[in-house]
Amino acid sequence: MRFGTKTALRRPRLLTAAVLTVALGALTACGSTAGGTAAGGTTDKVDQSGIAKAQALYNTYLKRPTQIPNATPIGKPIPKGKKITFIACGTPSCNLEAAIIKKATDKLGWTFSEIASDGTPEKTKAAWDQIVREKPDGVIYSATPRAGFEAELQKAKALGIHVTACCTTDPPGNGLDFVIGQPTQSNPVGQAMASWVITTSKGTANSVYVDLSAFPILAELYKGYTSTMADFCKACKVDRLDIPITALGKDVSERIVGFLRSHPDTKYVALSVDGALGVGLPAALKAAGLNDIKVIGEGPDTTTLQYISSGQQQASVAFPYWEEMYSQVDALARIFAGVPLEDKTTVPSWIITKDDMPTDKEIFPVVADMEQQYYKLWGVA
Amino acid sequence: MTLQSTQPEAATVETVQSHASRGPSTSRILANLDPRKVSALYVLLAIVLVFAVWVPDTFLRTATVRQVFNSNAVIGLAALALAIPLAARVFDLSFAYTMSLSGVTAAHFVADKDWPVWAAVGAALFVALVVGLINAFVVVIMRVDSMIGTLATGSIIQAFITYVTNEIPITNAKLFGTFSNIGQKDVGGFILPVYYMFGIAAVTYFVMEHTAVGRRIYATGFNTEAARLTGIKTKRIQFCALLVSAIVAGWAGVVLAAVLGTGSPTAGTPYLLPAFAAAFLGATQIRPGRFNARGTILGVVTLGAGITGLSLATAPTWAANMFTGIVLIAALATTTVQRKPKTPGAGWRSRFRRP
Repeated sequence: MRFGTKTALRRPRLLTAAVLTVALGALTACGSTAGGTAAGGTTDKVDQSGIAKAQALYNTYLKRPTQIPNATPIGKPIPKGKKITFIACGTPSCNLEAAIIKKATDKLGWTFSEIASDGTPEKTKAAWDQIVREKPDGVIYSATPRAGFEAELQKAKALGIHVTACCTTDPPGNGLDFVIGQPTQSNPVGQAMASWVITTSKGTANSVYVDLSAFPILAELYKGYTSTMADFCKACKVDRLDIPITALGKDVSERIVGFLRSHPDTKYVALSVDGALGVGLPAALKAAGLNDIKVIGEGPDTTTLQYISSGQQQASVAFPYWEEMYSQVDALARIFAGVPLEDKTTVPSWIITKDDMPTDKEIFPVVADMEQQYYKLWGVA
Repeated sequence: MTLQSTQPEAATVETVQSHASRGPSTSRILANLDPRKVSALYVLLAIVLVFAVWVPDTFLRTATVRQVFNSNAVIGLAALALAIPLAARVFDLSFAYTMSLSGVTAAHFVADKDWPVWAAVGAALFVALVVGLINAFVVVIMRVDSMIGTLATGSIIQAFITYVTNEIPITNAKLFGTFSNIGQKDVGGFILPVYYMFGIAAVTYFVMEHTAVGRRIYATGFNTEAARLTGIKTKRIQFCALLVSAIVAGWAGVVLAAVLGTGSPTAGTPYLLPAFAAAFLGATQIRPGRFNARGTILGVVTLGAGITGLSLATAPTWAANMFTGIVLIAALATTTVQRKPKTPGAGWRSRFRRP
């Protein structure tokens, strides 16, 4: 629109303005009702007995675990020469998992190979097609729902291929021999995070739980967090900020900073996944002048470890990569040796801080002598 | 695709004439505020008004201004890296991968090789320059379509990064301190990347608007063949545009690594679409139809303000992407689509130049 002149352009421009106005209006209306917040407690009197219980819980998670997921020696010779294939998922953590599995399979005299996949349904299905063609003795995969390769999984079962998985909501059975990192095993991680928040804040924290609802495996973690908050901290308030998967690596930090600025009473941040949600957060908080925010996460990568060691993040619950990968190799070893799988496996959880972190240079086992304990169970030197 | 560039001069003249009676300065101001030239400015004002009413307690703060600039400075740098090659009618889809590569390179030399920060940054920029040379060779010498050629080189760059890093981020305590200050140091409430963005924008503005080189770049972009026939060395222009793009993208990658405090193998990739969105939005502003630095910065700020406002209002998770899409369409509609064809039958096709 030119100023002071009538043009043929007026109508479409008005239309454009109208579209913008309606769109912003719609966003306004939606934003007032959505946003993923869930109030926990109110400003009740601080519950001292709850704090004491949270402190006790926190103390258990602060102590480095000594028990690996498995406890029963295999007691029979484990056949050598087995071919194990790992289906990668295209993330740095999957690459780390591959290295850990290879170390375990090398120890047992097995052959390890890896099929590259980026975690997309197409690539995952293609990887399983390759499994059916190559017929390894065992397959290990992470964090992909079986629905995407059910037909191939059944073919693998018919071929006598044994399959284990980590970090999936699918229960074991019908072709899937063993699963570790099931949703229920995530619950204690949420409890650990909540115990840290309650203890550190002396039972007064308003916290935001930053969620990634695209990963159903994390739902139980949120339950553990909120239930512990509700049980031990009546005065605490919990909000939930759900991050869309499309925001990962892009504007997660800005979304968290925006939330914190709009909720100035919230001083604690609980990240459901450290590596994906926490990269760049310390700098964003600093740039926004939010210098009194305390952050705990779960599943730190090496960047998070650096943040913790440099004091930019306060704590994290270490993810037991080593234990969960070795546990899957252990399951295959039991199957090949003709020994029944253990009924129960316990995933170790450990809150790490600047003071008790073994190293900030690499992902470490949660159980310090994890490898030796497994080698003892397997009867290998 | 390059946006049509035929209207600004004529429209400006007409507008100025229509306001001649109001005096030259008033006319000039009004001409500069013509919604066809700065529609994003009006969108920005609308954003401020909406959020001032919606979330007055948190939006109307200087902290919001800081957040808008601080959190969008890297996007601004990435968008500026695109503006020059786009003005010269070549796409550089590899810039996001170049960002990742330079960030990883700088982090590697600081963290693993104990190089001084200046040397590591120099190495990162050199690597980016090499990428630019490869892009230029593929696109200008081999005559591969720029969109396909730079997509291919981007894929190769990502493969190289994966080969070297195994997709594991490079981290080390050495990255905090002098190196992280490149991206995190606060000066007057704004982090250094904001100043880099304005500095590079100022240089780009000067070169593009006030030098013969800039006019040659635009001439090459508007009609490469016509420019060549007038004696402009269009290949050289496009070659150099890709080099400049790679170096600016390389610097953006170093800055991003400093902001994150890590050399992430995939850090640059998410900037692909936001940077293009800002660059194309910028091409509808101030000098409509031309990729220009001032318009790009206006685009970055407008998109950033809206997204920050939505974030402060705890809007639903889809709102930010929805907002970006709507603003892009609205801005393009305001400045290009609304131009009524002067001759019957001259429809949509006449409003855009062929790629």
